[in-house]
Amino acid sequence: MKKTKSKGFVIVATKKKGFYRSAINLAESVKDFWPEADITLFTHEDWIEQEDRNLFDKIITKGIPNHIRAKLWALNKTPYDITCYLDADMHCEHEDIKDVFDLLPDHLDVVFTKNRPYNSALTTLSETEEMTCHCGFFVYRKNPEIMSLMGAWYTEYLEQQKPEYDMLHYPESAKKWDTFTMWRLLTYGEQKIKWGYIEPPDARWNFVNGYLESELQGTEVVLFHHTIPKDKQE
Amino acid sequence: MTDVVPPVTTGVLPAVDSQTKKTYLNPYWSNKENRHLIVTIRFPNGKESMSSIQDKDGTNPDMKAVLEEFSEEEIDENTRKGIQQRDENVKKQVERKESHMLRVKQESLFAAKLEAFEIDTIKKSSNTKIKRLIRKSKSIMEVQAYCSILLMQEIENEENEK
Repeated sequence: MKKTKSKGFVIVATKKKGFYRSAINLAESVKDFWPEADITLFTHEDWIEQEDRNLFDKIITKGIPNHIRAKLWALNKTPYDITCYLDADMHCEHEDIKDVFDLLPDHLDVVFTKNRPYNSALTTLSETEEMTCHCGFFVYRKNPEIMSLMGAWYTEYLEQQKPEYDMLHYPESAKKWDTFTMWRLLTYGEQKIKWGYIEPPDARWNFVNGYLESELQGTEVVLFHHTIPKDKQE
Repeated sequence: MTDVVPPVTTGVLPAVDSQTKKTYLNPYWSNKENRHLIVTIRFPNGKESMSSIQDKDGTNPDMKAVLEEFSEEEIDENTRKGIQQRDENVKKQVERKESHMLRVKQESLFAAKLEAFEIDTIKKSSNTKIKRLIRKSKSIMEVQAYCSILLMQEIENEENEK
């Protein structure tokens, strides 16, 4: 008999306590619409409130770096066969959340929503190159290629932060973005990745603050993605 | 006081002729019927300036120079591309402006939802039905209305338990 694939959400909250509070709110919102959802939280041990433990089927604290991009470290440590990664500053607003894993078709290993240039700090890299994957929400499969990609995402991002890193003809402002690292890996990386975009209205799965309502094409927001104000991050 | 001596014309063309030549870039019609062109002129010192050339009587030397270098079809094509670019820029500006206004509105709504779930009674309530409605609310008024309903129900429940 074929073993059922495990499916769950991964949320990462590190570096600033505000991300932990936001992660709890996100997990509560997911559970309000889908009480059976499996959620794993990566965070710092000393931040965990006892009452929050019930929200998660796993909390991973061992070895987690105190880094603003700890999410990249965590991704290949997912306990699930199919994972939906959620940025901690998201909020679930619809029961369709239980269909999220259906977004990953059998022929693909990772799917993203598309960046909206009118609402993004940077998408255009050159006349012919554009960063189009939004890296705050994606669904991926656990297989050697994807685990290698996720591992490379972290190490390559750390490389990218070094002052001597050669940005070639790309804008210097792209340096701080993990989206740029993922774009490079998907475009020029060694891994043979089967990736794609979620079909429109993809925006309902990652409705970033500032998106036009028309992006929803008459559907409702499943996950709202806001930005935690600086004063609320600490 | 020294008299100003006018320069002597020697009859020899100055060698700087080629260096004084202007280069015309990307000419397009502002108004074709009125023979009104916009063109970027690059000067020998490398500086560029955008110029407006009107030539109703066909005597303007810049217009003449442009039309010697560019065919009418090329200028028409530049005009078409320029209009397209302008339209795209206007569209982008409108979208960004609209996006900014929406961001402010959506931020306020989200902040209201967060505040609602900071109320202990709401956070701890097992009334998932109304909690979902709060999370789904499309306006601050809706958030407040569902919060009130939930709080009233929780108070009633508490009284019934006594």
